[in-house]
Amino acid sequence: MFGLRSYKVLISLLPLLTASCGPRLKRANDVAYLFDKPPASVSDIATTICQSLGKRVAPPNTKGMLPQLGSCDGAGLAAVDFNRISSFTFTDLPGQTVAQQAKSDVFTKSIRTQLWLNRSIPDLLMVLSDIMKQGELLAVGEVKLPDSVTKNFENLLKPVVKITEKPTLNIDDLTFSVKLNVVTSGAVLIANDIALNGKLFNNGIAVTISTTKPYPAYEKSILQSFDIVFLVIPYANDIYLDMAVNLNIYNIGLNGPIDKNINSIFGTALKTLMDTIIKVGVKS
Amino acid sequence: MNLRLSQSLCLIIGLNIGCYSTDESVVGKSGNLQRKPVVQAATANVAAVTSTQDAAAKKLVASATYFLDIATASGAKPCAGEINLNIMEDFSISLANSKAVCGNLTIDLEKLLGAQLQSGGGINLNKFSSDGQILSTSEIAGGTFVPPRPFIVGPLVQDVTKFIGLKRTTASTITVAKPDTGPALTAPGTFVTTVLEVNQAYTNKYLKQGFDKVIHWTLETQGFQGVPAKYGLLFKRWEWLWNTRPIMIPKIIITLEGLDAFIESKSGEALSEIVGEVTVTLTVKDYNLSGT
Repeated sequence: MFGLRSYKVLISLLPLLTASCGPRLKRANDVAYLFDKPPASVSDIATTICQSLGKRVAPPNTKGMLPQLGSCDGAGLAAVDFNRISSFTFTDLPGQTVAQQAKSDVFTKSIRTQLWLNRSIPDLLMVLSDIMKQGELLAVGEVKLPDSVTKNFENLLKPVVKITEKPTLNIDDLTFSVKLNVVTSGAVLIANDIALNGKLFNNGIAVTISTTKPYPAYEKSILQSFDIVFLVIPYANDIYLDMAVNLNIYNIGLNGPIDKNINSIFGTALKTLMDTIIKVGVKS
Repeated sequence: MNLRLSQSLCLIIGLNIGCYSTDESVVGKSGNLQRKPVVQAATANVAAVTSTQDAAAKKLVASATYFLDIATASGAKPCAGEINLNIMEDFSISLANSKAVCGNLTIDLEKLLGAQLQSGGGINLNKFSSDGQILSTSEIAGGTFVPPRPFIVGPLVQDVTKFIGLKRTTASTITVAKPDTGPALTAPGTFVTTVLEVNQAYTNKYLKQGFDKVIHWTLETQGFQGVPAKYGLLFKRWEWLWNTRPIMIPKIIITLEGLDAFIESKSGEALSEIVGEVTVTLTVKDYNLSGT
């Protein structure tokens, strides 16, 4: 049974066996120190990425954003499992109260959410790959929004999202960018130009989404400006998401109701968007 | 098959030969084990996700006090009172301690109007539509409208120039599937929405500071024969003074063909004796939109 062919197989495996255990003179014990210390926590990784974002000059960076957006303190400590939620929970970041901003022209609100996506990296890559195959994210022009995103307010608000500048991917420093224009008609007018910039770090992905100047007047857009810092960190065989948002909304005297409802509105909207993205991945 | 088995055996044996038994213990140390952090107790209850909020925990986010007076066509003012309008964080409305005095009678407006305010069970965005100028609704106060009836101008008036000279007539049919008594009702009618003025100034003796961005409009109703005004809020005329920024309603004037068609409950018996054209005026006395 162990004829000539079997010996051939054994011989062909030898280089592989050698490679599988590293160079001959380097044993596992030689690199054991790498495993002696506890691994970096997800908070450590998030902090490292955010510090890098803070130091960068080229986008993505957090220059000009509120400090609480760029610090990434306490990453993971309030994270929930995606499969167990019906909407994301956004919590308030430190900032001025509603009463303190009563006379301001613009009402500022900062919120944050953290969650475990309950997906592995291959799952995520598959979804991203499928989205890219749709082609819409690569071309300048209008992006068709999924019906599930708009169905709850389709008679009240008609959003139009356009890609205004072709998406770019820089292989040298592993960054990507795209510019968008978002306009709504109907009960609420919004008109903002948006820049999305991302970078692949060695332990995660950071994306910043910010409105670009000049900011629109109140007559054109209720939303003066916003900044979003979005982290995607593979960790413990899962994907950790961290999203911090700062909104500057023109003051219409309803800061109290807006303040009380914005967390749940964002939470529901983001969950709907994520569900849609994941469904897109599954269907394709 | 035998060959594949032999290949597998070779591989297993080879791997065992190629690695030392102590290697396994090296990579089994803590450095290879990423663990998710434990959710902090202080944030756990925040992170525990609920899409619906506990009704008992609703917070007040805006409030206003209005004077109420009711006038007949002859100019008599049989009733006066005060309405305390409280808007909660889920946009539900309460009228706590709102009362009107008509002669010797004190009428509890909270009880009288509260049931109608609650009957909607909260705001359902799917019932509303907007073309950027008028907010319309397909269902309100027990009536369904095809097409949706105009409800208010705006309500978010950003570019006021779009509202100058606005006048629109909307034909619609109301259906009341379950009136308090009798069979279902249905009737056609029209609504006429007219913007009278924009950027109007308004003040009264109670306000510390007046308003200077008031849009003034009327909504008139014709037709809908045989349907009591309380269904679908079919007021003969609705006149609004609405400040656009900050959003505040300084005055509302409602014209009705008698109160008996609007109020049928026992608590409103005194009001239902007032017949003929009646004007109900709400005038703001003070307000707080700060959410505190």
